[in-house]
Formats: sequence, C-alpha cells, structure tokens
Amino acid sequence: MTGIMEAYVAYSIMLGLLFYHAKTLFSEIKSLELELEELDSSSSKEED
Amino acid sequence: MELLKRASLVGVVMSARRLLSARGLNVSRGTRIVLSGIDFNLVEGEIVALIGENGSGKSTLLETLAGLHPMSSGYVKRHDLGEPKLIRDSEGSRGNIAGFGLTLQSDGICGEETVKERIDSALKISGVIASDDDIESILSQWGLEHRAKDNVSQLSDGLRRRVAVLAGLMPAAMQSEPTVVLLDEPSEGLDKASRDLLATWLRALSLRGNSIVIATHDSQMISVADRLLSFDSNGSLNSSQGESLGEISILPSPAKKFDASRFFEFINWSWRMEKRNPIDTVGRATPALVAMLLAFTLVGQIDIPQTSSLSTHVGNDLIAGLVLAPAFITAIVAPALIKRLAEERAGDWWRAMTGANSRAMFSIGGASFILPIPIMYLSWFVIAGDIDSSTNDEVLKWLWLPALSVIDISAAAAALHLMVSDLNRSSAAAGSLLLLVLIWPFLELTSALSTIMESGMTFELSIGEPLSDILISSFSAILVWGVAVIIPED
Amino acid sequence: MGSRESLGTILTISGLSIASMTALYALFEAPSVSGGWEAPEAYRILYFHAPFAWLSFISFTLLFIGSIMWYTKRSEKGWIWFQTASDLGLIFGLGVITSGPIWGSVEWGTPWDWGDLRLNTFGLLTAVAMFLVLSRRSQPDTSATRDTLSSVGLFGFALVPISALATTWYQKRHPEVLITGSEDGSAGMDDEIRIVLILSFLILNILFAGFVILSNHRYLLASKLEILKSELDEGLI
Repeated sequence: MTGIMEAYVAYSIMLGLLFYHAKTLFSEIKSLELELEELDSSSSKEED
Repeated sequence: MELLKRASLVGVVMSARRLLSARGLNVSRGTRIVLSGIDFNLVEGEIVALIGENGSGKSTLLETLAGLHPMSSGYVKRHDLGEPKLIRDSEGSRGNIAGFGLTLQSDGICGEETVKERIDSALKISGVIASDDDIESILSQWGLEHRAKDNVSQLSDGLRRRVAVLAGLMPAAMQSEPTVVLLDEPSEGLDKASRDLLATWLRALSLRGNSIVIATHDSQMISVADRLLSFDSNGSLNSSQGESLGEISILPSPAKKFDASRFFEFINWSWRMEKRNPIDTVGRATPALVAMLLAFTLVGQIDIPQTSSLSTHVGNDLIAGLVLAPAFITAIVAPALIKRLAEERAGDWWRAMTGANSRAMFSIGGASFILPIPIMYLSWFVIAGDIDSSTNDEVLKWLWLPALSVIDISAAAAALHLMVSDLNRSSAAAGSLLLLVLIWPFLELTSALSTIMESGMTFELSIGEPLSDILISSFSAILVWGVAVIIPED
Repeated sequence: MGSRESLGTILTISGLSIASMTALYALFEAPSVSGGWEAPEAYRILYFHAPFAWLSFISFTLLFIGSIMWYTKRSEKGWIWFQTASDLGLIFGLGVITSGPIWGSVEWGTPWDWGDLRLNTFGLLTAVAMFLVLSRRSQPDTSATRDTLSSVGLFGFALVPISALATTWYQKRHPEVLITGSEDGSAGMDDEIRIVLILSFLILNILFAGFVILSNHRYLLASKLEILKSELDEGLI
C-alpha cells in the first residue's frame, strides 16, 4: 500500500476547503455590495 | 378617504354564507375548564373580535378554531368551498383544511427562516403561488422590503411581529376564494403605522368575503370589528354589535392556486432550515464520530482470538456491535427539528397548517435519512478496516441494508422524542428512557451484520438469517413509530 | 477600501492558483521518500497538512485576540477579527483534522491518538470554531450574543492547557499508543522536501493574508449594511 489514494483524498479535501472559502467570500462581498448599493440608492431617492 | 361605517349586519348575516362553525365546545387547559358549551359561527365577510381579561379564554377559543386543542365535547367545522369539513372533534379526529391564515400570540416562526421565505411558506401551504414582485411590493407596503433576505431571528421584536401578522394575512389576501383568518393579539408589539395598516387590511379582507377572528384588547382593533364576543368571568360569551370602523386598503390581486402537498411543504421547510443551520447533522455526527474513534481505540486493545469458531463468533458480534453503535447513536439523538418547532410555538403553527397527519409528518421530517449510510461505512473502515479481504468485500457490498434499517430506527426515535416534547416541561423529562425499546432492533442488526461477516449475505427468510434479522429490526422500529405517532393524538 | 479589497482579491486568487499548482507538484513531482515508511506516498500530505496546522494555529490566536478585544472593550473592530478568525479557524482546522487522521490511518494504522497533544488540541479548537461559526449565523447579532460567543472563544483558549494535561495523563496510562512526531520530523529531511515545504508554507500564508483582508472587508460591509437597515427599520411604513 503506497498511500497515494489517501493523499489524493486529503488534498481534495484541503483544496476543496480553500476553494469553498474563497467562493463564499467573493459571493458574500458581491451580494453585500449590491444590497448596500440598492439601499443607498433607494434612500437617496426618498430624500429627493 | 372617508371613514366607512357599515350598516347593521343582521340582515346580511342571516343570508351570508357560513365559513366556520363550532358547536358545544368544552375545552380544558390542565384542570381548568376554559370553554364550556360554546357555540360559534362565522359568516363570510365578518370580522369578529374576541375580548376579555387575560386568561378568560380568547386565545383558547381562537386556537381551538385552528384545531390546536383537544376538546371533551363538540366540534369545529369549516365550510369554505361549500362542503362542511371537520377541523377537529371530541373524538380526536382531525381534518385537512385547505389553508387559512393564522397568527399566534407568539410569532410562530423559526428564526432561521428569512422574511420572504416565511411569507412564501404561509402562502405555499395554503396552495397559493405568488410572484416575487407581488411579495416584494407587499413587503414594501409593510416596511419590510429591506429585510426580505434577512433571517427572522435578526429582526427587532416589532419587525418580527409584522412578519408574523403578515404571514397570517397573506393566504387570505392572495386568494380569490374567501377563507378564514385567525389572529391572536396581532397589534401587540406593532408600531402605530403598522397598526393602522393592519386595520385597513382587515377591512379590505372582509370586503372580499374573508372572515376574520381577532383575539385582542386593543381598542383600535376592536373598533374595526363587526361583532364583539366578550368572555366574562364565568366562561360564557356575550355577543354585541361592533363599530365596523376603518379605511380600506388596496390589496394585491389574487394569485394562482395549486394543489399543495402539506407534507412536501413541511419537509421542504425542514430541509431548508437544516441547510442554513446544520445543527441536526452536527448534533448527530459528533457523538457518532466520537463513538467511532473510541470503539477503534478499544478494538486495538482487545485481543480477539481467532482460534476457535466460538471465539470468532463472539469476536464478530463484538465488532458488529461496535461498527453499528455510531450509526445507532446518529439515529437516536433528539432531532433538531424539535427545538425548531419549540421556537415561538412554530410547531403549533405547523400543526394547525398540516392538520391530521402532523405528528407523522414531523417524525419523518425529524428522522435522519442522509447520515446512517455514510456513518455506517466510515464506521466499518475505521473499526474493522483491516479485517480479511473476503469478509471485507462481502460486508461492503451489503452494509447499506442494515443502514437502511437504521433510518427506520431514526424515524421511530424521532416519533418518541416528539411524543415527549408535548409535555409542558418537556426539557425536564427523561425522554431517553423511552428510547430503550429501540435496543432490540439494534441487537437484531448486530446479529445480521455478524452473520454477514461470518458466512456472507443470504436472502433466506428463516430466523437467524441476516435478511430476516434486518426485516425484524425494521418492522419493530416501524411498529414503535406507528404507536408513538397514533397514540398521542388524544 | 477599494484598494484593500483589490489587494485581498489579488492575494486570494494568486494564492489559490499557486496553491493548486503546489498541490499538483506535491502529489506528482515531489521526491519519494526513502524506505522505512508504511505508506511512502502518503507522506505527500505533509506539504499541505503542516502549513494548514500552522495557519489554523494563527487563526485561533487571532480568535483569542478578537475575543479579548470584544470582551474587554466591545470593540467593533475586535468583533470583525473574531468573525474572520473563527471562519478561518474552522476552514484550516477542518483541513488539519481530516488530513491528519487520513495520513495517520494509513501510515501508523491509527486515525486518532487520544494521547497526542497537537491532534487533540486542534480537534477541540476546530469544534469550538465550528460552534462559533454556526452560532453566529443562527443567533441574533446583539451585544449579549457577542458577549457569550466571545467568552466561548476565551474558553477555547483555556482548552489548550486543559487538553495538554488530559492528553499527557492519557499517554501515561496508555504508553503504547503513540504517534511519532514524523509528521513534522525535520531530522533527516531531504533538502528538496524541505524546499517544497517552505514554498508551500509561503504560498499558503499569502493565501491566508488574502483571506483575512477579504473576510475583514466582508464583515465591515455587513456591519455597514446592518446600520443602514436599522435606520430603515425606524422609518415609517
């Protein structure tokens, strides 16, 4: 038994965690910025 | 807009269609008789206010009309869509009603839901599909648009109350057929603007033929009502004319209706809550993984002699038991669903909406479907992974069969936990004592796995064969489930 | 702030790409080890496992600092660090406690050693991080909640010496159960292996920095959004 399969599994998990977190960060930031923009523009419309 | 004052409704009431009727209601809460021989009728387009002191029975009557309380005599029936349909009677029979609006005194919402989802759930379980635009514009009318995607738990009390009230109003607001709306102290916790809006919505809904019952002590809500029912201290109801005041709001146009599967909507809701906050998965997997690792440690330290066939059998039994224990633990842990349903009496709201088969639905929603199979296989790898390869292959091929039976055990455990959760002080109850009955299915599965390890899988049904052991285990679990689901319904 | 977000993005994207290449290199190009190993190819897990362990240690340290900043001064900045650190502690901690046992089971025949200080401490801290991440998402964001969660963060800090005591005692009782320290045993390490390991550390640290910048930015945005929404809550219907 060389353990290479186990190495593949371990790397998949570790890389997977990194990609998952990066994806979460990017999508969260995007949606927060969008929501901020929407709210900012709708509240400035009310002030006009 | 001018204030509209309705003319006397007497003539109108006599010819208007009845939407709800209750006869001879006798309802006790604990040892106290709260409702005694109450008759109640609700006609189309009527707004009835239930008034009285705290504890006089307003909430009890309202909740009984929703089918939430057992009664020692009497019945509650709905008459929408023409046909009389039983909601609940003194024999414990419950009906499935088409969907109506309900707002309890607690908000009845699990915090994990977003505002928009909450409105959506209330509509879908009533068989209404509203477009996103419609929902957004209504949320905007109620000052909730900016919170549409936020979890209800993140809202202030006042906003949360708005969501709860709106969820009670929406089913009626979005369908063309008149229905019943039951609201318990809806204005409590609302700011003035929301109370005014609520009053205009109530008048608008009644104009469309919907019947509304409000339990309230708020004078503004009382002034909106067409009829007042006051509870006096000896439990009887006195009827009087209401003022029928209030402006009329513009309601959204009715949306499409569909044949809702309450079971599907509930399971959908339960699954969404778990995806957002996976405490059920974590709560089940953590003790299972710990048990697995502990078992592994023990197996390493036990010297299982392989010499005589008896020792091998004992060894196989031990290993089978250790392999199955983590999955068993996964199955018997109390479902997170129970805590979700306990939050703000969300369970009562769902019970009212799901009708006759609530408990069965809840127990299936609370069972663990996804975890048993992977936990079982992981368990095998960790604890028995270095067993000889022919046994290993045979077990790997058939391990999913006992794992399926573990799913049945988990449904039974969920039903038992639900049964205990009905107690007033359920958190003080030693519910785990009831779970002991599930040890026998576990032992049957241990025999089955042990036999598979020793002599491979067979499909004969005689006693002692793995397939019959597995079937006995499943059958016992289903029996326990059935009893735990059926008995507590009165 | 725009420039900080850009920096975070650059560090994250480049960090991820180079880390992926490093992973491929580690799996296919890095040298094989000489004899004496049960599962010689599994050693390659080391190239990520060790930096992950280091970075989860950093995350837990940041978590404790954030906890103290909130607990003592109710600092909003401290809360942002707390959130970032608990997220990263969970991610890197999960990486450690999955890759470690996978390697351990195939190399030393044991996925877990209740006597191993590092493994158990990482396990406990990852569990605490998971609790904090799940709780932050499910609980209303009030001062009271933050107080409770930051005290749990400090509890995690106290777990370290407790788990040191517990595992030491367990080792005394079960002396035959021992994972040798070869997972970071630098004695007799090939030069090339050491170089790859150092490069891997570097690149994952860069990625970590990118994560920290982006995550802090995210939680700052969330805080601004919540303030704006609270103002709208006050508004009339």
